[in-house]
Amino acid sequence: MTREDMYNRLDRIRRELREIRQETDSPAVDNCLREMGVYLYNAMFYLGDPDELMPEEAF
Amino acid sequence: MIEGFYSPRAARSKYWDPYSQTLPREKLDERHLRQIQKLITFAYENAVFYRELYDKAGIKPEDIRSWDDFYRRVPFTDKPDFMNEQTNRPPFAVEALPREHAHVSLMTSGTTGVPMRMVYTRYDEVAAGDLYPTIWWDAGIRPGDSFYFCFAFGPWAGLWAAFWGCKRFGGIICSGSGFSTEERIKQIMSFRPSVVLGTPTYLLHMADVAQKMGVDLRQSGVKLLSGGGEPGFNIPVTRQVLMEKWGAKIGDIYGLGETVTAACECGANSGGVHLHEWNFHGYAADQDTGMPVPEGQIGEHIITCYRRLGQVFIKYRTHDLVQMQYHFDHGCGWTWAFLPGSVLGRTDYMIVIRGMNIFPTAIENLLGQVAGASHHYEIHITRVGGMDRVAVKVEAKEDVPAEFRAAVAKAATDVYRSNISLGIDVEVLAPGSLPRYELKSKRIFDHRPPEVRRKLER
Repeated sequence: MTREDMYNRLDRIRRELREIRQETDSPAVDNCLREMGVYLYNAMFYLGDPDELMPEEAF
Repeated sequence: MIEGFYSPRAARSKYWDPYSQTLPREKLDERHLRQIQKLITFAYENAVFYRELYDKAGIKPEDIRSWDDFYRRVPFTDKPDFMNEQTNRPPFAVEALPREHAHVSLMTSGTTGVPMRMVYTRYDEVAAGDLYPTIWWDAGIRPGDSFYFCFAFGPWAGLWAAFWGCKRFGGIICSGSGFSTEERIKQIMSFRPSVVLGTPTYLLHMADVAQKMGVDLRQSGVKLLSGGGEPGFNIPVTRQVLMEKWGAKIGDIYGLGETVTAACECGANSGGVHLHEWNFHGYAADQDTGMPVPEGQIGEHIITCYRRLGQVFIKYRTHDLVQMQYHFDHGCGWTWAFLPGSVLGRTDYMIVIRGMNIFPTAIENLLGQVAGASHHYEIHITRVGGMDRVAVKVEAKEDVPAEFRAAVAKAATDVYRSNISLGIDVEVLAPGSLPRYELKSKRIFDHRPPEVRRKLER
């Protein structure tokens, strides 16, 4: 897997996470997914150059 | 797109975790048995202590198929077992994971000698922080609210768990570590946190100090006092004093130093706490047979912790006396077992006088009925001629002249005699005579011979 492939797969996972976050009615579940989003962004940060200055999950 | 801290649907939820907090009893129990089976297998495969314990008992993990197997065949564990392990296999007792997973090491207070070391993995830390958001969410606390920790960030696990919970929950953390009580009060008045975390005794002490400083804590904007470490938050008289002096609601937490937070209060002001049944199994046991007592009867709380895997606790004797209710309706909607009054006493501090079981919590609560008696007290237990005796030392309130202290003592003696038919010697002391504590207060002094008491400090 290339560095770019890894970046794109992580980006895809992150988008899926966001979709699940919109659907869950559980703050506990939402909280975990939010944390995952932060860490996924962090991994993407090391692999490339995300458009966002910081993960929107971190706001 | 910038969203709120929680996604819109989740933000509207009544519960922190609607699924687990409202799961029907039979489903909870089915899950408990599955979790117990998984945990016993994990412990047998990974912790030498449990392998030896279960081999000695003649059981293998696959033998535990029913509740009857669990209650009758699985041996209890107790703090002395863990202390022996700590000595024999240092530094951590009953370690179940390779050392590289160890993340945080904390300790019990060790007031009886050697402290017990606890080790938390990263996952243990996340799990330990789980319970506090449950209570905060129910109390209407949300990200944007703020938390002030009256806590020196020493090795006591209870408030570390609150800190871990806070990190996950969202909200502003403000540490009061390293400050005097007066400085903390000033910070609270200027920072105006939503939640103040501490032990009930220390929060009472803060209220007294604030009064002397001419500060009205009811003007601090604090919405919730949360924490634990002592039974005071659910002793009605202490709870009432705290609510009045701070002008805030109470969110009680019950936990053990070893396993951290096990139960918490819902938002219904119900006079007790709910066992966190997603993280723990617990039951009230008959101290003679070890079997569960009927629902609503008092027994020793025996817990099994599913999410404390750096060290494993299975059928662990807490020595806390509790009532477990599985069928109740006080309006919160939670299905997790309810423990009215939280911890009612300790097996090692239950005093038996002429066949009557007396709990120190009852002694504290009745003290609230005595005009002129403050909430600063000590209970001294002695044994004279084979009989347990109880004496109470209590400070007079500030406005009680010295010459009236004897009358306050007599009033207290009368309250005890008429309510619990017990002759208790009461000594009323000058205000400020007894020591103050930031963390767990020492209020019970057991002077009985070692063979009739248990020295278990948590």
